Amino acid sequence: MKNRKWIQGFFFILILMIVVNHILVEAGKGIAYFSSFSLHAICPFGGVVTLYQFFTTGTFVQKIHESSVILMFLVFLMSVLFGSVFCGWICPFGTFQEWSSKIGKKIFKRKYNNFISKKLDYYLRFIRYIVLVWIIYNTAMTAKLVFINIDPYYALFHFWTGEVAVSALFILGIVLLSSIFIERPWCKYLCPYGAILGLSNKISIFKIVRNKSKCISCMSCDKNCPMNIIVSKQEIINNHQCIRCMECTSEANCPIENTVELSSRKNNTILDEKSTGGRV
Amino acid sequence: MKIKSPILGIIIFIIIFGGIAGADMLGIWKTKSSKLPIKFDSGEYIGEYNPADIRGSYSFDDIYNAFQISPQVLATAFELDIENPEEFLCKDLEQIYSSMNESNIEIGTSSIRYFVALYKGLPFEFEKEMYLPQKAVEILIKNKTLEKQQEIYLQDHVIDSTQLLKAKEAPAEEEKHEEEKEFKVNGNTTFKELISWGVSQQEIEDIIVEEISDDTITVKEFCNNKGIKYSNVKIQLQYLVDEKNK
Repeated sequence: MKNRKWIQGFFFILILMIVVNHILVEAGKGIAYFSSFSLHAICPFGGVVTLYQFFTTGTFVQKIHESSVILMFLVFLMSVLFGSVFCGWICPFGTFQEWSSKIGKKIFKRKYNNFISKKLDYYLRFIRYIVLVWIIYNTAMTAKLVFINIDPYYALFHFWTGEVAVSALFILGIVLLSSIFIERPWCKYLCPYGAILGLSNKISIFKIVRNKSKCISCMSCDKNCPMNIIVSKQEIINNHQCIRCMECTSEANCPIENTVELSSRKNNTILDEKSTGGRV
Repeated sequence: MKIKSPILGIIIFIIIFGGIAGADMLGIWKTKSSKLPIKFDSGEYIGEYNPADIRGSYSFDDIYNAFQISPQVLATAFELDIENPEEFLCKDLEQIYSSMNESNIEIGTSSIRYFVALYKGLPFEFEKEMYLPQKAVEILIKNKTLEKQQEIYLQDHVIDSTQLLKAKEAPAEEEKHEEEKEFKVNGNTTFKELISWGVSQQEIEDIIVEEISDDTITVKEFCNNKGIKYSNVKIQLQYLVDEKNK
């Protein structure tokens, strides 16, 4: 899925350059004509945590600005259309975890991303909702950006500045270490933003759809899913953990054309005129 | 309808960058704060700006815009001898008096919030012991907005001018370690020393955007006098020094 990797790389480098330029501008230097926003200004999750304060007082939580709220809405729009594509195509921290997972894949090969028992893993996936509620509640009560103290994304892009809380650096370290064994550990178990966006997979207009009649049950989709979703057992992937990376699709790892695709659903049926000439 | 990945990629770009462009055209794409604190939404002071919401990024001019307290009054209260008090940022106060932290006394943005609240007679809650400079207390007493209890508290939590002067002149804790190292720019580094380390006067003047009339003065004192952010200047000068002495 080269397109996705190029886009992920683009957003990662863009965010990195913006953050570096922000720090340079604060030090009296800076790249002319290039953005120098703070990371908080371009983080859509900042828009989420500030909603309570915005609706009750008309102001934003410290360090959050109108830009964060606008990005929040834009990502919500994308999510209503396609599900949590933000996670799979844009989020720089997701990208960072994918890059670090290459180490684990090289060492453990097939065993990689399969260390945790399915039962335990199922329950652990709901921790991120607890994190979400905790952060939103505490931000609402304190009007402070409490998440910054544990945010590994902020830590990743600021660890050299001396401004990062030790707790956030610690979590970044844990995520990095875990990436050697688990793919996208932060996304799966702890990301509060992923928790919200994952819910959009249930209602999105476009979903990952598997054509049961054409599927040969090779389970290539399952093996390549970074989120351990059993794609081969479902016709419509609306799992809250799906990041819409499309690694399971016929464009990437499914060997049969037009079998697993990102598609819309109409009238409770899946339309595939090319392969079937009508309703399936 | 199916969506292939290249199309999805294009749609993502259109939504994100198109959305940002649209927001910018509407004038709602803002990435910096408005420099105005929130207002009290209930009680006796409803509609007034709340001093507790003053941010470190606010300048004394921003405080003037919200609370009509002159930047010169603030500079006098916190014993800052600076040329352009309106440009002084609240967060820089803590840096100037950072050595007070050794005595568990913080003079910073929270002190400014406290002073502004008392000056305007607005409510202010604090969770830790609050200290103010002697001049600030004198201004507040003269202003006659203090309640008796507040006055008593202030008298018990005043920092006299001598202490403050020592704090301003003392190097920050992290700089004390740097004194032992060669070619390290710290609070006691003079322009003369920088020049002896290989940095030209022109290069220094390009950074501080001022002419050096007296090269025996410390860089820190020069910055404080001119209202220039010393930490920024220090980083740039250190970079030059390191380059010259590789």
